[in-house]
Amino acid sequence: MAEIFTPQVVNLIVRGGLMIFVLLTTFAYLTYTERRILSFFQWRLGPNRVGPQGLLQPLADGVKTALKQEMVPRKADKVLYFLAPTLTLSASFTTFALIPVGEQVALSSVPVAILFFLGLSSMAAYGLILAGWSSQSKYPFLGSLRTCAQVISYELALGLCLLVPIMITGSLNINDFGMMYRSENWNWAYLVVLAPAAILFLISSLAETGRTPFDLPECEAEIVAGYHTEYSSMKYAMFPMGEYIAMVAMSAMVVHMLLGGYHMNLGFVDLTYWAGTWTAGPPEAWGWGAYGDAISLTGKGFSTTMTFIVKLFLLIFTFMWIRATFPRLRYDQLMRFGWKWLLPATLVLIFATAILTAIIGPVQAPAVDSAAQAAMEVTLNARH
Amino acid sequence: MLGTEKAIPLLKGLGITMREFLGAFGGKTTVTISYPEQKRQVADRFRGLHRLERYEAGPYKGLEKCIGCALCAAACPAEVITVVAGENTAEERYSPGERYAVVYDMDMLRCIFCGMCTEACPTEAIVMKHDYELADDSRREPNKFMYHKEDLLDREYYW
Repeated sequence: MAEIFTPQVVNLIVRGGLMIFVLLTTFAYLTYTERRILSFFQWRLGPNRVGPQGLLQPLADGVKTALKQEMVPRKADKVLYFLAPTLTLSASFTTFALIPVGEQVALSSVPVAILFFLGLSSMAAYGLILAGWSSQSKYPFLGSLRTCAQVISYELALGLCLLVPIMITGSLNINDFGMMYRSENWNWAYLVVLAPAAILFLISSLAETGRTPFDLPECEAEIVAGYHTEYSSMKYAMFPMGEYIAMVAMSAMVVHMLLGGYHMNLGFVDLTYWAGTWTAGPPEAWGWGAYGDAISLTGKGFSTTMTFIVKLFLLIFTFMWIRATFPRLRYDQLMRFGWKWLLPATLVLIFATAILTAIIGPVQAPAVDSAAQAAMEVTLNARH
Repeated sequence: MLGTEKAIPLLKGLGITMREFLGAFGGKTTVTISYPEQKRQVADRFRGLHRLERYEAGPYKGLEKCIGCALCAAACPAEVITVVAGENTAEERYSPGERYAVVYDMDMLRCIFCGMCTEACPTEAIVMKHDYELADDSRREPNKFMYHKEDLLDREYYW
């Protein structure tokens, strides 16, 4: 027993638990934020009664959902029925083990993170499909079929969009995407392909996470609530939870692809390091420990994480903005857009990227900082 | 080209929603009325809770307008109003005419706020004001939802 719980493993468990706690809180407050922001888009006030400015609303919602009666359809395939929400949620949570949220602030540094990321987002979709199927009910079944077709169509474009930064950096590590902007041989001409790639990625991630213009899986008017019609109480709550966290993960990917990850270098001033200097003095005085900075709320880990969170929120706000603007697509429109426009567009982009990299040459992302390396070593050691 | 003619209206739409968002976020009044704190201004002819009036000027100043004729009770389609009339005397004068309302009860659980009572009233004694917060917590207890003459006569009203 003593050999299993080595300091590294304990470290990982604590950090993983911290990550899950942070993600759950994020989910709770994202629901609140989304409701408030959508209401401002519609000239309403939104939930503002529970606590100051309604800030305790997620708590009330959580208690209410947890106390709801749990209903399981008699004919449901019990194993799959219980597995489905767990699958969606755990897949979404696991994505965040791959995404660095700040310099030296990452749960792991996986060399093939992108493949893992794509695999996990497909797994989340399996959860939705299984949910509809195992309910043994007509509407959820229709909803899950829609989800199935939609996710397969848009996953192609999603993966192909990620090929653009992969081709530029020659790396499958998410950390390198953000770091490529700090590379010595970075060329701003790459933005010509990176910006459209990130936008197309954003569009396909809307479909992948079932957000508004593409929220056909849970189209209320036609198929009640889609795949989760037969779910109630916390099992129901796990679906939106998974979806929101997937949305955060997708936004995080866009931040790494286009917005320069967790750094804020405007050319003339590096805002991240400026903030770090402001909170912790000159860079020489900063701690460089793997997690110490993030917890001590000063220095590099903190300032980069904060930069990342600000950028992340901008992206999430865009998701909400899109939700407030566009009506849901018809099913044939969804399919036509995915196959006849999005997929060819990404293929053209990849072609353009190939030409660009041939002309300019690939970007060598700066070496991952020592702590990300350390995090990776922890991951590797944990296996032994 | 490449669907730009379709993309531009989408971007315009995003612009419109953002403009409205910034307006609402920047403190432009929202359509929501925070109800218990703010109240909606009702129309002038809104039919709310009734009130029995008195003469406020003239020779009959201070006297009740109601003469106990019970035309309101007769006009009422929901049988809300009960009027029991009594004779005015020289010593005890309540209204200008011969008779006045000794009992004037309204069962507001029955009232449909049609305003026929005010239409029927020959002296404009019963009028409808703008109060609409008439909820209460019991049907059985007397005086909850049952408005008597002393509740309706000269009662305070908001606007």
